[in-house]
This record gives sequence, structure tokens and C-alpha cells, in this order.
Amino acid sequence: MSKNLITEEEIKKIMENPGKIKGSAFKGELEYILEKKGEEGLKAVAKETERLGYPIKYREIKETEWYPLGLKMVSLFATLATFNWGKKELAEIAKSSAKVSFIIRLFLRHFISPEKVFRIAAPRLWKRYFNLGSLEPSDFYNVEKKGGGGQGILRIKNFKLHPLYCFYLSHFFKGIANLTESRFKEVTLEETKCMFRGDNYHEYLMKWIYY
Amino acid sequence: MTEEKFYKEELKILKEDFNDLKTYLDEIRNILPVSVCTLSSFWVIVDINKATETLTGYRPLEIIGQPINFILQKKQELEKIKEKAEKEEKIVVEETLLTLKNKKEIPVSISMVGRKDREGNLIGYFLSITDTTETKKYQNRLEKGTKALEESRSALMNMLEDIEGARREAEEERNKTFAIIQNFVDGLLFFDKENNLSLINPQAEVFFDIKRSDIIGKPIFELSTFPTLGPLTILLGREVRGVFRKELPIKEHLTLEVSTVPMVSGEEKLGNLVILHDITREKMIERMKTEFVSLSAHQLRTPLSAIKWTLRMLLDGDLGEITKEQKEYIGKTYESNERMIDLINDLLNVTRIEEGRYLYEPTLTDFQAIVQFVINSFKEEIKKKRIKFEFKKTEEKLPEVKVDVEKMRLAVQNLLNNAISYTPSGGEVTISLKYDKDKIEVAVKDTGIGIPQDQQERVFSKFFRATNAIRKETKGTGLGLYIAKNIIEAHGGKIWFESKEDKGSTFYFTLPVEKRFEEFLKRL
Repeated sequence: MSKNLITEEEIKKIMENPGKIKGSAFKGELEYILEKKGEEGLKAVAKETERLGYPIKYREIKETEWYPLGLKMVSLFATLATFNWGKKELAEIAKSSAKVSFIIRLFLRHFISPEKVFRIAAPRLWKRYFNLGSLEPSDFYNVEKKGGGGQGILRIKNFKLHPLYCFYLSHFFKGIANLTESRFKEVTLEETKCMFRGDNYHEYLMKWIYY
Repeated sequence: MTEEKFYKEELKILKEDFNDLKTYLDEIRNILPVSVCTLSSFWVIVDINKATETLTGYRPLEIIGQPINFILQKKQELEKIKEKAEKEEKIVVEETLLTLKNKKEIPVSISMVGRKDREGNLIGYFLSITDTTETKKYQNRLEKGTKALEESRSALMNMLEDIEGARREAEEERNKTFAIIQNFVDGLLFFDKENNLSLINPQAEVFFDIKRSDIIGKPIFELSTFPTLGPLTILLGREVRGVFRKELPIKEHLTLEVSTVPMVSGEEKLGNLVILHDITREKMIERMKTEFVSLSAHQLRTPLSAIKWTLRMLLDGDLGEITKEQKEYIGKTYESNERMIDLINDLLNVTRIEEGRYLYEPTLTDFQAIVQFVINSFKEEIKKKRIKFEFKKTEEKLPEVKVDVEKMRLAVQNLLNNAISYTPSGGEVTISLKYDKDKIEVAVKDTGIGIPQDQQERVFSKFFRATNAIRKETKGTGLGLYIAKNIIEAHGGKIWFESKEDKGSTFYFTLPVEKRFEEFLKRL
């Protein structure tokens, strides 16, 4: 990925998205940038957002406040462009977002079993993060034993931001999965349906295997 | 206000409160000095505070999402604390090791409490970690100190055991020694360095017919108040003088031979051991022997005297004329008879000496006169052998000494007789006198045959005659020096000699005057 990943027009169009996102969603970039590039890196990203025409003051973002959904994409594009990062770093940012989110911490009480996370916590969590669309889990099964595993399907409906964000979400879910269970040897998410590919909703097939 | 407006206002307030609450929690997270981790119910680290970052060196993104054994690797301790935290609704504490980002392991104390939802389901854990490195160091120092103390204690106990062993051995030795002392046939007394009696064995109690408890611990001068101990205390003096094999009659049928041995440990004098050997039986046998010799000698002297006078009468022609040849034979017989009479006289003297009844007439006498008397009796002999004789008197007049004159004459006579007999014709014999305040010293010097070096030790023994003396002179009983020595010593004097074979001999003796002499007289 290189600089000028997105045109001003595209940004403008994204920013026209009526959806909103909680400030907590920006915490992933903030911490990851600080971790990798320090305070100077954060300033550089802020400057890039300014260049894109939608300046973000990361330190002033409140995790529980609503922000324009498009701003999340501005933040991600600015971050990737500033440091010339690619998908690998984007995945890490998504996982970091799960790790440091205050909202997720509040949801820890639901992280009792993989099934509860999947069936109960995930839809509710979506509502805490986004003010549009919905997350619907289905087809969950799990064999909780050594060498066992399970899978489930997550469908996201009425939510269309940017194809890059589809990739981001898959790793965000992966990050949450890793917070819930220490016995997962491997967690994989595959976007089996995507609205950007003409499907009616996004669909992720999530699989995991135990140690 | 409409209901919608009211709820909006209420929601706004709630959001503000919520944000304030979050800020408050963030502040606590950041300033809390104790390291705190939030764990999911599946032991995944889901949150850490600032203190945990500082302690572990990990940034939140590096550690959140990791299982707890990412930093706490001791599985057993973790299982234990987890089990407790699940069962008990209180904080449980365990000691374990924390792995830091730099891979270093430090000792920590972990406290854990389970989190439960309203329905009582376990939803995770709070874990606090306290660095106990300093505490451990202190504990280690304390343990080392304790260990050192334990070792010291152990060493001390070993030493005490050794000492106890040594004490037991010493006690056994002491008991053995004590048993020997108790059962010793000789009497033993031990006077400490202050001359107090600190030991008396049963045999000594029997000797003195006295009880240990009556005398133990008493100084020697106090012991003189006990009648049976009187002679011993006089012999030993107030400070236990050195005594070697001194005979001491205690009562009618008891004579002891007393010796003292100074006891020392290293250079420290501990006191004096007094050994009391019962010689009553030996004395009795000796007396019987002496009596037998005395009786025999007396019985022999009478017929020998008769023979002497008969022979004298024959030689003098009182019984008629005899031929020259007869006279020569009778003369030789007379001389032999004389020698036998001399021998009998010497034997009688010896028996008297041994019976202790030899000195019976001590009188104050001019000692020079005694010597002169003896010299006069040898004048003919000296002249006959052409001996160069000298009598060296003192410049000052000698003080009078209290001696048994007859016996002292005999002593001097025996010495002078030997000097003349064993000095060849033309030789020299000198008698000299010396006086130095408390004693008179007499020296009888000759240029005679001398005494062989290897026989000098036996000179004063009964019947001893040196081999060169026997060769030179067939006469002599071997009793002269024995008698002289006994006479001198009975007067409290000393006798000794210097001699070299073929060069001559000098016999010395001393006699005490004044106090020492008075003491000697007391013992008579």
C-alpha cells in the first residue's frame, strides 16, 4: 500500500456515510502507533488526517462518544499512508483495537464461554460500537476438549463502509476471540460473503481449534 | 418539560457520569502503585495497569490477549491459586516467579480474587503482583544468617559433645586414678601449692589412725597438732621440703619410708605428693639380721681375744722360749687374728649403726683436737712409709662442735687409714680444715692408687673394695667408708670424694655448726 491510497473524493463519499462509531474504536490505532512509532508517529498521523481534510485529535477522543463512521476510515488510511504500512499492520491494528477497548473490557463479564461470546456478547457488542447495521451469529458448534474445536457464522447486515474495513473487522473479531479463550491454538476468519461483492450482507466463517 | 426532553436530559447526565467514571478508573489504573492485571475467565490477560507495565516491561498491546502463563510460568502455583480463587470468595496469595520482558525471572507474590456476575458465574479474575525480590533477598540473607547460626549451633553442639566425651573420658580416668589411689598399698598425701592437704588415701588414714574428714583442707602446720602426724610434719617442715626415702618411725610397730615428689603441670607447680611406704617388716628383718650379726660378732670376739692374748704371751716368751721360726709363724697368726678382731669390731659398729644406737655420747668438742689425735695415732705408719704428710689447719680457731668423739675419731681414722694404706711410699697425704660460718669442712687428700671411675658409685657401700685396692692391700674389710659415711651423716654432715685412678683421691666431709647442728642434736 502506498501513499494516496484514497482520493479526496472517495474520502468525501465515505464521510457522507450516516453511521456513527464509538470513540473506543480509535484506541487501537492510537496504542499501536504509540507502540511502534511513539508520540512523534501519532503527530504525523494526525497531520495526515489533517491533510485528508478530516483532522483527528486522537488524545481528545472519548471512548464512549459517537464519531462519524467515515472518520474511522480516515484514521486507518492516514495511519497506513503515513508509515507505508500494509495489511499485516492493519490486522495488528484491528487486534490491538480489541485488546485496548474500554467497551470490550466492560463486556468481559459475558466472556464466560466461547458460545456466550459468540451468541450473546457479539451482537450486543456490535450495538455498542456502531449505531447502524447488526451482527447476527449462527451455526455455532463447539467441541471443547484437547484437540477439539468449533466454528460459527457471523453475519453483518445493513453495514457498508469500505472493503478495507471488511478485512479490518475479520481481525477485530479474531482479536476478541483471542481475549476470550487461552486454549485456542488457532482462530481463522474467512469473509465468505461481502456486500462489496454483491452479496446482501457480510458473512464471516469463524473456525477455531483447541490446544 | 416533555417526557422525551426529560429522558434526553437524563441520558446526557448519565453519559457525563459514565465518562467521569471512566476517567476516574483510568486515573486509578495509572496511579495505582500495585501491579494489577485483569484476567478473563479463561486466564487471558485482558487489561493491565501502569504499574504492571513498569514491573514487567511489557506495553499493553504486547501483553493483553496473552495467556497468564506468558508472564507467570509456574503452572502448579497457578493451578493452585486458580482453584482457591474459584472456591473461595476472598483474596488468595501464592509465591511464584514472574517472567519479565527482558526474560529475567523475579520472585513475586501474586494475590488473586475471582470476579463473579450477578448470577454468581465466574467472569474473570483480578490479579495483583508484588515484586518480592528485596524481600527474598532479605529472606535469603536471613536464611543464610539462620543457616550460619544453625551451623554454628551444630558446630557448638559437636564441640559440646566432644567436650562432654572428653569430660567423660577425663572422669573415667579420674575414677581410675582415684581407685588406684584409694587401693594403693602405700599411703599418699597431697599438699597443694599453698601446702594445704588436699588428698589422703585410706592407707595413709590407717597409718596415722586418723579420719580424712578431720584433716583434709588443713595446712601442714596445723597437722602437727595431731599426735600421729607430728613426726611427719617435723620431717616435711612448714612448706613440704624435698625428702627421699627417709625412714620415719610412727609408732612401735610402724616405720614408714617417706618420699616427696613435686607435682607440676607444664610449668605450673600443683603441689607435693608425699608417698608413705611401710617398711616395718623390712626393718624387723634387718633388725633381726643385725642382731644375729651382733650376737655372732660378740660370740666370736671373746674366743678371738683369748687367742690374741695367748698368742701374745707365746710371742713375748711368757710361756717359754720359742724358736725363731715358731715366732715367725705365731706372729703371722697374731696379725691374722688382729684382722679378724678388726673385722668383728667393724661388724659390730655396722650393726650398731643399723640398729640406730651408734651415737650415744655427743659432747662439745674441739674438732681440730680430734683430727690431731687421729694423726698422732698414724705417725709411726707415716714415718715407716716415708709419706709426706701435711695438716693444714685454719687460721682462726674452729668453734666447738657437739659430736660423739669416739665415733668421729673412727670416721677420720678410716679416711686417713685409707689415704695412707693406698698411697705408695714417698707419696703425699694432706688433711686440711676449713670453716665458713655454719659448717666445718675436712678434706683428706692423697696421691695414692685412686678409685676406678666405673666403681666410684659403690664406694660407700658395705663390704665394697675397689679392685685395685684388693690387688694392692689384702687387708681391709670394706666397711671403713660405710662406717665413716654413717657417722658423718648421723652428725648431720655430708661426705663425698673426688678421685682419679693412679693419681689419688680426696675425701671431703662437712659437719654443721650452730643452728643446723642444734637441729641435728634434737634428732639424736
